[in-house]
Amino acid sequence: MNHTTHFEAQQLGCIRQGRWLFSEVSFSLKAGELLLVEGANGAGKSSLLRLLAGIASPASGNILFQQQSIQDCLQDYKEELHYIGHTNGIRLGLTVTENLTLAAELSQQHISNMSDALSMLQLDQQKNTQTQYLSAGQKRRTALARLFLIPRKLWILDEPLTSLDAATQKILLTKIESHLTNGGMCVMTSHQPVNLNAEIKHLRLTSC
Amino acid sequence: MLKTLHTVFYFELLLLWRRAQEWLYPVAFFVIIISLFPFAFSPDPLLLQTMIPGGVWIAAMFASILSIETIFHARWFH
Repeated sequence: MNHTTHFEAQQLGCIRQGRWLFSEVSFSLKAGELLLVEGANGAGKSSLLRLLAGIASPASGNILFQQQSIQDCLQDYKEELHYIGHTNGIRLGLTVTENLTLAAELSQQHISNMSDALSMLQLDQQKNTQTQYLSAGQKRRTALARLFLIPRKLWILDEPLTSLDAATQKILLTKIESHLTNGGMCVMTSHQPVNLNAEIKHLRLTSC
Repeated sequence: MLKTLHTVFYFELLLLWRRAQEWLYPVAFFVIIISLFPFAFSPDPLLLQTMIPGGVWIAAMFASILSIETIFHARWFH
């Protein structure tokens, strides 16, 4: 991967319900680094991640990817990142396999290692079950399977560890670690401790 | 590109098929209203010929009201 990969936020601000949630949030991230966003409930962690994923636009400030503002190349930018939020981004009426096939097709990616990823995430038994009948943890694992199947440079994960069991949390953290070693970048939030063998930057959000 | 389009349509139709009650219910409602007309007025063919075309439109409108709620709503829950 390209080692000039660079992700930067300059003085970001976000307004929700007519009041400033946060302002003047800046950070910069290089290949192989992880940004851990911390803050109390309602501090704006998820809102910040939505801004970074290009789903919402900031009230002030700039987000740069490869030295280019993401608003100028939104379509290309979205093809470089994985965003997994609280709602998992899966269709509840589709089975695990169908969801992943759809995700792969939408990113124009041919996937050959589907069964490996499914067995690693212990979704073998459920692969032909509609995701609406799965437990919260299994839904989360279905969403996370995208990380294993479709390679992208930037991962934006909103509390990826919630509702996962200890074993799966470990699998995910190992996966994040190898993603970073391969020159990827990751922005995540977590209320659990994140023990990683990698460069971790911390960003603490406090309410204005 | 064409293959992607095909996949997207395929999965949307599959989803629609799996929650058939959403579109079967208005269709059944439509059929019931239409078939009630001869009972409610009279089975006289001449009268029905003048009445039914308007009745079909009204029935179609009522049936479509039933499905209005799900047009945007469904995306988030299925």
